[in-house]
Amino acid sequence: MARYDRIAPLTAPTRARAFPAWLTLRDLEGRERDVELGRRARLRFLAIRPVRRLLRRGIDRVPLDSYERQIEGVREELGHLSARDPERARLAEYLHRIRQRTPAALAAAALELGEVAEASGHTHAAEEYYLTSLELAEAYDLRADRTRALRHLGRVYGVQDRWQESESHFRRSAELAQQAGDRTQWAQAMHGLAALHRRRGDPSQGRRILEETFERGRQWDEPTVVAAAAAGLVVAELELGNPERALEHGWTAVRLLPDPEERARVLHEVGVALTRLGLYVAAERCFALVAERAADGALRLRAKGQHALVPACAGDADVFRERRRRVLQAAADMRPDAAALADLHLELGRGCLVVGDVDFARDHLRDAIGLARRERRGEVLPKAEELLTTLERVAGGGAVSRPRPVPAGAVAQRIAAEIESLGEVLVPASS
Amino acid sequence: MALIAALLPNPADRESLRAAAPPHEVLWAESWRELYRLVRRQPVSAAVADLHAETRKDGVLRVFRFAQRFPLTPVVVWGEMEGRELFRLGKAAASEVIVSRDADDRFLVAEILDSVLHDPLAELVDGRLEGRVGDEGRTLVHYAAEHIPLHVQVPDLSAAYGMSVSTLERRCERWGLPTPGRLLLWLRVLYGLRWLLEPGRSVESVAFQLGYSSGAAFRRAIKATIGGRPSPLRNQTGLERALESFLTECPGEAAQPVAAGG
Repeated sequence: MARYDRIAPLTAPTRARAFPAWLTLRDLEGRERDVELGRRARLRFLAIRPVRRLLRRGIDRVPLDSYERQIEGVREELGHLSARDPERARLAEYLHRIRQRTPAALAAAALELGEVAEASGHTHAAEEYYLTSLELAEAYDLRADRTRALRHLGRVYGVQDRWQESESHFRRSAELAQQAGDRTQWAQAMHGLAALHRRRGDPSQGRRILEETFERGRQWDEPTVVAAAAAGLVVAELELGNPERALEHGWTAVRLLPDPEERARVLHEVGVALTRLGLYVAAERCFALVAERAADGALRLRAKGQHALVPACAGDADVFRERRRRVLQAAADMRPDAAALADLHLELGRGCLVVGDVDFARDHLRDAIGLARRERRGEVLPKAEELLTTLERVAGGGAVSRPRPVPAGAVAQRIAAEIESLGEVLVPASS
Repeated sequence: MALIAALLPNPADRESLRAAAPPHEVLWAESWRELYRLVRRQPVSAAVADLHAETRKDGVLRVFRFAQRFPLTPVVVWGEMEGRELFRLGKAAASEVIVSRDADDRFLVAEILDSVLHDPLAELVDGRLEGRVGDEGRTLVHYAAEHIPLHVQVPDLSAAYGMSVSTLERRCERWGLPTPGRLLLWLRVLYGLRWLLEPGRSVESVAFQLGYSSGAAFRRAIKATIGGRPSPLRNQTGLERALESFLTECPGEAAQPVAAGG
């Protein structure tokens, strides 16, 4: 093979011009030598092909034996992923589900595997799976699946900085949900729209949308709508520098959200708000619960990173160092995806900087920057770069001052006390 | 039925393609160079090539070069492919892939071949005639267009429709179409112009593909339909212009006087 690659500089084709399911491979752009990602992308490609085949030919026109054989072929290749790789189990489950050959099962399976790819930061693979789900939903008039697929696509386009497409997909999803009278889906679409505004650098507009959704939920007396809006408001308020209001909304969401994993996600943000308010005991409680009970490995790792960071903020360097050591060991055992690792390095870098371990901080932040660039993690990169700049400024001069907590009001103190005393009730997986 | 040019050195792969290809016909090549030659000289509708047909060569680069020379001829890539190769094949403009594991599933291979073998020109012409020419007339044009690469002649067309040449001529008149001979002449010209959009084809090779005895004969056909020479027509605008001229000779049923009987 030539020492230089003439194919690499070529522009990637659009989905319509490439062969079916090629989009699942596009996450390899710029990372073509990444063997592990290559194997993963190939499996995703092979796994969506049987579903695309049914979509192209029509479910009844594909011979059952041939279809089963195609699926079995993919199953035999699952061994290319490590036995501990969570995606392997999800792929096996997906292959089992698509055997049913019903439009609803196919659309739901494609959507769920897309979520797995998206969680790893592989947005092109996720897009292909979501589009396949959407096409199935449109072809077989599955309204709820269509609403969900549109919302998921809106989210992926937002991450890809395709703002207009993202907004139009969220709006279509919200319209469909409203027509169907599905208030939960409507609230989730609005939540996505608000998140998009935040990404575009307009957090106030995002908050406004969520506040309207929150109010609408109250008028309807619909707890799921209130919960979805409150969950969005936690992030919005944190971003706007209002940890107390974030805490208040987060606490509302935690008590109303029906899904344990969603609750764990919000509880993590509640922990962040508590840390900023200097309510460290309650914050640690939140992170410990999430680290212990969340099903999503990446979320567990993020919670462990935040759990390690709390003593650094509280001024206890020794505890931070011990927790940092343990969380790094846990990360080595877990072998998380690069996106989760980028988040972890960012938080550990922050902690090391606060306690004055400048060299460790530099290593962590450089790792975070490298991973964020590779994974195109737009939200991690500027934070890590800013911290690294701060680090270089103070290098030789010791630690930076500890972040000063925002004074906690009565509401925050009451919630913190509730969290400290009622911790076990919050356990997401046990409820 | 279409012609497929294939470069598959492995006998088992050849057998798999042979099993899946009917009703299409396969022409075998022994190397990429021969594959190019086949596509240039034969009215090939698609190519199938083993990614690893030539050892120590970058198969993806071969596919890319093929797609550059013959952008309108779909190329299906066959073989064992890693994620990186699949990714690069997409950028190299491969039309489809058949991974080794699926190669002996003749249903799947046949479906993939079918998906790339649609005839864009027949569909393009049909689309333009819609609303102008009735269903019966359009069916005839579609059939004729699909069979142009197989050198269909007027007697073949009338035989396919189970009628004499003169009856077919009367029908064409009634449907608002040119005579069968003129129709085939036009379709050959349109096919030829479409093939000439591919840089890898010459006027001489296209003439041969269309069944003309020489490039001069094809040039005369162009002169008799659109007027002028083929070279200035070697672009999308030229093909578009030719289509428009063809349509002026297809007024459709509405434009025809009501015939008394027959």
